[in-house]
Amino acid sequence: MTRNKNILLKEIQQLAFKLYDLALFLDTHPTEQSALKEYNETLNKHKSMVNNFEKLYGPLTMKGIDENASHWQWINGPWPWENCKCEEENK
Amino acid sequence: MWSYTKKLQYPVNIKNPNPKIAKLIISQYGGPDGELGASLRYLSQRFSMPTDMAKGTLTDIGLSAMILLLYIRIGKAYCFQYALPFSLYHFKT
Repeated sequence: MTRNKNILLKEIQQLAFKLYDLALFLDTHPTEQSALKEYNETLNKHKSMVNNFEKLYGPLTMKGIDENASHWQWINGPWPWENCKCEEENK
Repeated sequence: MWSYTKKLQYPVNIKNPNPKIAKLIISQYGGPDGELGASLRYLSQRFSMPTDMAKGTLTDIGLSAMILLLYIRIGKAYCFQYALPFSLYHFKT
C-alpha cells in the first residue's frame, strides 16, 4: 500500500514541478499561448490526481480535508520529511 | 497568503550518508549567500517592484527558496544522523 502511495505521489510531484516550471516561465512571458495551454492541461491532470490521492491517503492541503471525517486528519503522520529513505551501508 | 502542501517536491533517498556533504549542505542554510537570506530578500523586494512581471517572479522564486530549506534540513538530519557512527567507528579502529 505504501508502494502504491509513493508511486501516485511521485506522479503528483512530477506534475507539480512541471506546473512550477511553467509558472516561472509564464511570469516573464505572460502572453505565450502554447505555455498557457500546457499549463491549463497540466493543472487539470494535477487536480484530478490530487483528488484521487486525497480520497485514498488523506489531505495534501487543508482544502483537501474530508468533511465527513470525525477527527482532524491534517495532523496525521507521516509528515513529508519522515518519508525519506536513508540506506546506511554496513561497514 | 501561503498554503502548505503536505509533500516533498521530489523524493529523498540517501544511499551514502556523507558528513562532508552534510557540512556543505548546512553551510547553504545561513550566512550572506544562504538560502534563508535569499528567500527573505526576494519576498521583501517584490513590494518595491514596478512591474507585475517582477512582482510575480520574485514571489515565486522567494517561495521556492523555502522549499530548498526543507531539503537542506532533511539532508542535514540524515547525513548527520549517520555521521556520528562513522566517526566513532574510525576512532575505535
